[in-house]
Amino acid sequence: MIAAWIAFAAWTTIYNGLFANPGSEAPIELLFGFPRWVVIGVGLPWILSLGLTIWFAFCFMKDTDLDGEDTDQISRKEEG
Amino acid sequence: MTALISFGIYLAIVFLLAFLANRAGKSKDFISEYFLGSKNIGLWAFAFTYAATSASGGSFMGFPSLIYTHGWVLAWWIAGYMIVPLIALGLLAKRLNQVGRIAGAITIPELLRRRFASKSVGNTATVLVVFFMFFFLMAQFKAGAQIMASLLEGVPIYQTAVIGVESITAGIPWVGAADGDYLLCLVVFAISVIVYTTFGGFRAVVWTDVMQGIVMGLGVIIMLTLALSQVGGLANATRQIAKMTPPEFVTVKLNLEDSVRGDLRLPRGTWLRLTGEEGVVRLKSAATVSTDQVETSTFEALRLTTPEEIKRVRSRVDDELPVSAEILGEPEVYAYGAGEKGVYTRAPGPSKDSPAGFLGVLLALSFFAFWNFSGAGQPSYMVRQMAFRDTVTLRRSIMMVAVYFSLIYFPLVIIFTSARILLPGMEIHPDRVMPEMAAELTGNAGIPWLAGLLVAAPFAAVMSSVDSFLLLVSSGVVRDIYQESINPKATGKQIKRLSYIVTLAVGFLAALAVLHPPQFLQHLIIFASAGLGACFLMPMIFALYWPRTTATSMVAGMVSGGVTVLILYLTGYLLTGQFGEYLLLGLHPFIWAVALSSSAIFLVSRVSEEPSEDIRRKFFGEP
Repeated sequence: MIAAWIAFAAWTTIYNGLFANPGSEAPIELLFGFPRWVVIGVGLPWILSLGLTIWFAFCFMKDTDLDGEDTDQISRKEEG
Repeated sequence: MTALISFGIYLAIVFLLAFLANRAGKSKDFISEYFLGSKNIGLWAFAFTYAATSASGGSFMGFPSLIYTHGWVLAWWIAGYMIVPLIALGLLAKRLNQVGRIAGAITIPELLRRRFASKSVGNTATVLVVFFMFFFLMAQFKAGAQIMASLLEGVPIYQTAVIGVESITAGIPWVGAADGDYLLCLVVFAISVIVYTTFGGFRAVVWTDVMQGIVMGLGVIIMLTLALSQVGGLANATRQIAKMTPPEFVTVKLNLEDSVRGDLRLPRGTWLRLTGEEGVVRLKSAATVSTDQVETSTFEALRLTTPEEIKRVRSRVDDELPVSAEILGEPEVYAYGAGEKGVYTRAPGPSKDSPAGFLGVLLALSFFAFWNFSGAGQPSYMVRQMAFRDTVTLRRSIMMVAVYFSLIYFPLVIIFTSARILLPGMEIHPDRVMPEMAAELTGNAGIPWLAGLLVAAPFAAVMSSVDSFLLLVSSGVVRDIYQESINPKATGKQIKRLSYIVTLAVGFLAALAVLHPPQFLQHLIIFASAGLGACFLMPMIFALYWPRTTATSMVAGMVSGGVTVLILYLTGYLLTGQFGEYLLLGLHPFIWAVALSSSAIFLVSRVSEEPSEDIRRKFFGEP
């Protein structure tokens, strides 16, 4: 989790630090109607982060007994 | 008026839910039910109560105001939210819920007290929760009152009531100095939210959060659609925003035409032509001017500087108005971005006060950390993590919250950058841009009744946060102070009565304190978030995962975190005269506070006596 945070923080900070301020004379570059830096520096990592979160929730995180009850039973109850 | 009716229906449903929740919890243990919903909150309720509490008045009132004022750079400012569900829920939730159950705790201070078998840990936590949470409450109350004021602005009976309130409160110290409209709405908002929270408890809060979460999501989607269609598409909007330059703040005197006799009253926000030149100004507050004082009366106003905007607004100015404005002296310009085109579409964004702009690279990185780790450290979120039913609920909720945040935050940036085109000159009162935008969008689309639903979205956000915070503060007082330290043998009836009284009293005090709030709502919210995150994030992580952590180190960690935030905000205030943080080496106070808090816990744990074997066995299963 911390590694994911570092990766996404580095992406947004480095990319936007380099490209979000092209200077007052530069014409605006659009991508899908957004300023280009917003799409690549915020939108794209946001989509990837959403994918990672869904993978974490469904494929990585394990069910745990919270107070003694068998969590397999809980899962079966929930799904059945 | 139609908007008011749809808004009224929404409020009626909220009260109905509180009533039903009160009935549903009657057969259960009062304390556990009132403050934690009997630890049996399912998927939809958990996901929405978490998301709705997080998306507070800050998200729907303060955040839009910052987007409007500083432009597209707010996409970078909020970018940390992309990974908040993974960090905030993935990092702590499962273990927190487990330890909460082992400890048999209802509140966060109680959990810490039992984890360390130390009253001083519990008492320190309670004091810090109550102190910082109070600032959160103030911010939400301000937001709620402003939303109501915007919604009711054109209603005749409301205007009469405002005049009545102003005349009644005129001589009362502190209260009388507040604007009549704000005061009236604050009272109505405070009464409604305090009553339903007091009556319904945690379950009512969770149920209304579900409804409010849905209302917020729908509201954002509808506003996005309307905004994009009314600005001619996103690309067109972005190009127009790229041509904008920041406004100037000026002092004006008014020139009345000969036809004016007696007093002329101009409402706040009135657009006026400039005498003898092209250009328009907007009054920052209501102005009353009489023919005999016209030469000596001056007023604060905002002047547009973008030619395309001036042309558009000129068509809105009432040509029949027998008055024009004349600028006196030099205008006050933005410290960064004055006269620069493109400043609203690139970093660091325009800033009225900072010559370095709104968002530097280090500050952006600070906020990326702040949203994630301060969010994880908020007691109001932690207490929800103690309430979910099982880990299946948690896993599914992480996904739902992630999708929900994506659907809320990014669209808000699109909507309120578009607001720069549809609502020029909102810098006079930026915190009101959300309800004004709702009214503008629905009015333009010919569906004014929908404004009620759209305004219900931020109102829902505010209510869902206020109720949670109210409950958190009252649980701290009742459970952690009264029941633990003053009267451990209190009967259920006594606890119940005291819970109601404390919830009422805390709400009343917060409303009283916010009669004269700071200009930017978001400043209060960030201060409170930073303070709570600094006090609880690292102490909770250490408490949950490191058996060697000691009670003394917990107190050291909480106090050093909270005090660091306080000192850096106080420094900011002393240096600028305004409520705001001091960015030591360009970093937000939260970062320094977390670093100090972690160091304090680690070092003090090393030098203080090891925790007892009983505690290690109970919470970590160590032999």
